[in-house]
Amino acid sequence: MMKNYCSSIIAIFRRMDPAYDSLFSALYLTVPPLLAGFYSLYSLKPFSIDFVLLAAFMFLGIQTFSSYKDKLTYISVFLLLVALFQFIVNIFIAHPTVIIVCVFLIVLPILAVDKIRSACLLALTQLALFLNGSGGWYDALNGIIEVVVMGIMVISCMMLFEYSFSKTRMRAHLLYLLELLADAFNIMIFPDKKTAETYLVNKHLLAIPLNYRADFLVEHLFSSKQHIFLHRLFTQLTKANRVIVNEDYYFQKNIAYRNRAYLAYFQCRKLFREITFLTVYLNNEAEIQKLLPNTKALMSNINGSFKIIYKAIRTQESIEATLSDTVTNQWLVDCEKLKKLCTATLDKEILEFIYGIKCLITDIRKFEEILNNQGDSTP
Amino acid sequence: MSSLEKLATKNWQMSFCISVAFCVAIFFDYVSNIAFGYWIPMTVAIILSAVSQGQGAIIRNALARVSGTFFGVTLGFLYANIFMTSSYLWMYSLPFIWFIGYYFYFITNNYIIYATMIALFVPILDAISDNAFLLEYGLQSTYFTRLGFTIIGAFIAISAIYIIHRNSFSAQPMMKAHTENIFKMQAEIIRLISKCFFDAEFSDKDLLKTIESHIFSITLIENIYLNIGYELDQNEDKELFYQCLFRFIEKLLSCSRKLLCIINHDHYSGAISNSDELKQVFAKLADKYNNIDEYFAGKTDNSTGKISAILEKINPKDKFAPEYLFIETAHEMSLLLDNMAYEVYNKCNTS
Repeated sequence: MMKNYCSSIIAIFRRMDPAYDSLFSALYLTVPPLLAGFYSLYSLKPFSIDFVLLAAFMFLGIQTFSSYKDKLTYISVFLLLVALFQFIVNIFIAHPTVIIVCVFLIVLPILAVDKIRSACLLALTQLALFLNGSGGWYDALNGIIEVVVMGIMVISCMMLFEYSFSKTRMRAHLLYLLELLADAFNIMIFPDKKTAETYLVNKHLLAIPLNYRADFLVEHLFSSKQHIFLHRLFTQLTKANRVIVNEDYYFQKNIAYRNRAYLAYFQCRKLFREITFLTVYLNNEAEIQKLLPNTKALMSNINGSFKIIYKAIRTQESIEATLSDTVTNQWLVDCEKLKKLCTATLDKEILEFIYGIKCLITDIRKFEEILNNQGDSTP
Repeated sequence: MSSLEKLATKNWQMSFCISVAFCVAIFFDYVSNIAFGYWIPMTVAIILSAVSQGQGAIIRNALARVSGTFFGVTLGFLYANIFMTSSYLWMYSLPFIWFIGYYFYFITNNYIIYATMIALFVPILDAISDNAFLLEYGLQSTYFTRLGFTIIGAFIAISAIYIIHRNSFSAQPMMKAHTENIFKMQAEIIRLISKCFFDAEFSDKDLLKTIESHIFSITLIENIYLNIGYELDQNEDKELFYQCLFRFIEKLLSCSRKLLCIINHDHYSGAISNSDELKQVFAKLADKYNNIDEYFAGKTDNSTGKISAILEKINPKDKFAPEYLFIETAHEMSLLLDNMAYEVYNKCNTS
């Protein structure tokens, strides 16, 4: 009973955040301020609101960078500016004109530089909070010490998160990608909406309320479900690309995992390209069935393959052949016969479909090889 | 003036505008001399932090910030007056509320949630640090002061971008530059794919780099499109153009994927036509995408017709060769561009 409730709750969260991106982002934004709060409480140091928010703003800022160099540059610029503003505001608290002139002269050239503009704007938010303070030399020095402690805390949290969650994040992205590939495949081959939707893992993608996301906004411009799913896959590929390919990892275990996940990710990219050829299937279903009677059996076999590959990545186990040799070989033999018989009358779309399926068979087999060659180290 | 000089000038204008807005907000804070006056410069800085996404994002953030502040101070008022006055233990629920709030913000990307969280937490943290709950969360300090200051801050931010230099904040030039980059990268992809297919010269690195740049620009224009509707000079024609553009890009991406799939599995086998003629066709197609603005301005050519002629000449027996699908996809891409250029040119001439 309890287990059922738990799995229902997990399913709801998975529907909203399939690759756990939002979960990790929210966690990144919660832990450093929480640590800052505990530090303030247990160091018996006067509690400072700026100290807590500083960590949150800093983490929000570094979200957009993937390399350590960029993240550290951002943190350094941000902390330097915050310390400077802290000092100016606290020293000249009784002379607002001096503060205004100093801030204007410092901020004007910094905001003109693209790379550090966002750090400067967040530092300005902090500056506004300092205006609420009482001022003086003690507060100025105290604030600068807080900034340094906070910097060390954020960098430590960044390393800690990389160490603890990177592998989970990479795997979640890979699994979601595979789910979407299976969903896109189902959407391409099932003619009626009901049958297609019973197979879909991500049914919610067709209707998500109350969001303000660019990917959903653009998807609403497309008329067919096929294109919506292809676009969704494209968006997920770009996100997975960031986590698996572009992101800098410092710890050896994450680098090793990334190197394994990389191969599986590129194989997914290949499968995505092949699924594009299948968009024409439903328009020519009857003719394809007539020409290649084994197509339906092959389709359900491929559908099963996606599930097996998904399970292999999830459980980190190696797999046996996912495609039935009998069905696949029979279908390929039918294709060869077709090639000799009636290519003159074949429509371009049918040729596209046949080519797509052939490539899909080849790449699913390659995927099996990749997963099996890695043995216990399956991504 | 070169585009780099233009960009530098634009950056300085943008910087001047933000600096002035922020300093005016600090001035208001000192002049008003009311508690929590820091809320005005804070609002200005938070609203203008969307500057890299353009004018539309700033306006949207300003509107969302006002409504988010309303929800935030209401929730904060209720939270502080119902729970925190009875037992300090309720304070331990704050990190959980913070986590849930930001979790939903990251899921929905709805800025109202972000603004709600800021408006909810800053006063609570202020209250904890000053031990002054009722002062921080009385009606005076929530609805009349913080909400009022948010409206003033939003007004300063929007006035600054409207009065000082509204053009430097517009996302339209950014949209145009990245759209141009998409087509330039598309041309480069076609060139590299053709090289790989016909000459079996495959530079994995170059192709990957180009594809990444292509994808990056597409993601970027999608994000710009999210807020461009809020821009001051946005109209229905522009909206229709963007819708058309995204549908066009999606079709183009489908074609690129097909070509990439073919080069992953096959190379030119010599079954169809001679390779020099086909190479020329692809070079022309790449050229077309590289100079797409000329076609949008009314230029036409017969390259689509030439590809059709090659396709017609193909022996039906050779249709199973990968070359056939390769040329068919090129034909589809050329036709797509012709149709898009025709639509853009006619639309420009009629409106």
